[in-house]
Amino acid sequence: MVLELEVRLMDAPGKLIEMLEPLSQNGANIQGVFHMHGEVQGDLIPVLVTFLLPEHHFESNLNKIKKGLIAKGIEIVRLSAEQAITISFLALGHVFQTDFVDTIRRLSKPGIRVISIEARFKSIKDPSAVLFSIQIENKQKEAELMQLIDEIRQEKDLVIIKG
Amino acid sequence: MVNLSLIGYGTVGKDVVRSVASKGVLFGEKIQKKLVFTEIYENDGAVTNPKGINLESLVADGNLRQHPDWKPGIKTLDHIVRGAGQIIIEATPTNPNTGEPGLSHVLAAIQAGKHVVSSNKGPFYLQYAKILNLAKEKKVKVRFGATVGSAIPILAAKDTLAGCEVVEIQAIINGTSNFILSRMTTENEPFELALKEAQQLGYAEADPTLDVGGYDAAGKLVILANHLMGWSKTIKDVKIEGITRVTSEGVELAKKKGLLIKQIAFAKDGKLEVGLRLIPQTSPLATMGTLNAIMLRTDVAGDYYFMGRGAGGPEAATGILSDVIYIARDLPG
Repeated sequence: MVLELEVRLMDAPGKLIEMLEPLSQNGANIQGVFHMHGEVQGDLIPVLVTFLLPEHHFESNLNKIKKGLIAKGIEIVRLSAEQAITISFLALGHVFQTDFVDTIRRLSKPGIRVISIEARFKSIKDPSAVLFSIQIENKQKEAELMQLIDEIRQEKDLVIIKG
Repeated sequence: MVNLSLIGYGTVGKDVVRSVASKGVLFGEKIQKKLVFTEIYENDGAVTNPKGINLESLVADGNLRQHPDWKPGIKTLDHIVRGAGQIIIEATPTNPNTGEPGLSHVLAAIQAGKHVVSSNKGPFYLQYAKILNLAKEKKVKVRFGATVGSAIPILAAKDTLAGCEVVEIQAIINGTSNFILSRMTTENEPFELALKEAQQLGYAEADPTLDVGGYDAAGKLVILANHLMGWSKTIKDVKIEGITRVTSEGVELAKKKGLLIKQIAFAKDGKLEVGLRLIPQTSPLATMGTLNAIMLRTDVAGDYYFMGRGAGGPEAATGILSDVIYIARDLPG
């Protein structure tokens, strides 16, 4: 599951590394760190961290992260979990003959990843049917994914059937 | 007595006449008035009788031109104005690009102060606003329930669901495409074979482009959105995708995942689209064969589903006569 953490840190060297320790020690995969310089309050700077926390031991790891941050005296402004969304679509046409690896690569962007594919075809030269399952980290990524799918559809003359 | 004029004596027109001939007494009891045909127009003449056409011979052999009141050479458009019909039933085939000749018939009838009932989609997906505005100006009623889903009372939902707003429509409204996709799913047939089967059963035309290309569904979607959501769209505003490139492999893969490939017509957020979608086999829209299914999503009262046979002579005739009876109720007679 992808989570967003907003904290306020002293604007001083080493503070960011110190804040990230409880996350990295408890299974979190840091995906992005954003300093909100426009919203500095005194000597505190708001920092937004996006990280992926695996489902395995999710609750206990999340608790350890919270406790670790509090122990370091770091103020948690917000910690929100957004359930990743899986979107499936069927591609019909020459999916393999039109550089399948390129298709997969183009559907793999920050916050968007192909998690499974399943195919039916008579032979590799014939039109095929491929069911893609794609995970997006939040609803906001859906429009970006749809744009990517549409570009691929047009370029490779595929029929795309969305779920 | 309420006088009816029928334009178009094809499959639907004949079923309208048969229905009035066989159930006329029942209809009369519902509205306390007798329904009679005073004109039945074809493209090379008309049967006319201001006192009421005898329907017996028509029902017996269906041949308009052998009827004792047949008058060859009558031009429909000229005659509508002076004919005795109070309600004009427009049931001619649609020219998808111009809406003619139906559009001219409908406008001429309204202009002459006559009420109109239509099963002809073209005029309404091309000139909805013009027709309805003219009807308002001339203070006549125009009903076109049979244009979408035949006898399914979907357009009547404007009145029956008047307490809420329709904010989204999802619909399977082309029976031919639904039949073909259903056969591909249940019988593992390729598209070409399923189409041929649809043609043999009379569900698809010799030239099936309007159905399998998505244009028929697009026209109906425009009528639904304009009527139920108050939009002012035409068929040119619809993004359209047909079913011709759906493959057996795709259908099989979807089926394995508990999904069906369906041609769905969507209206939401000012956008209209007819396209292919994967839907769960358990969805209320997962109708098979020629059945139509329409979902109306409302702002406060959830979703409503309408389902039924969306094509066929008796079904369309039922839709037409329901509208005729609705109008006839308020007419003096």
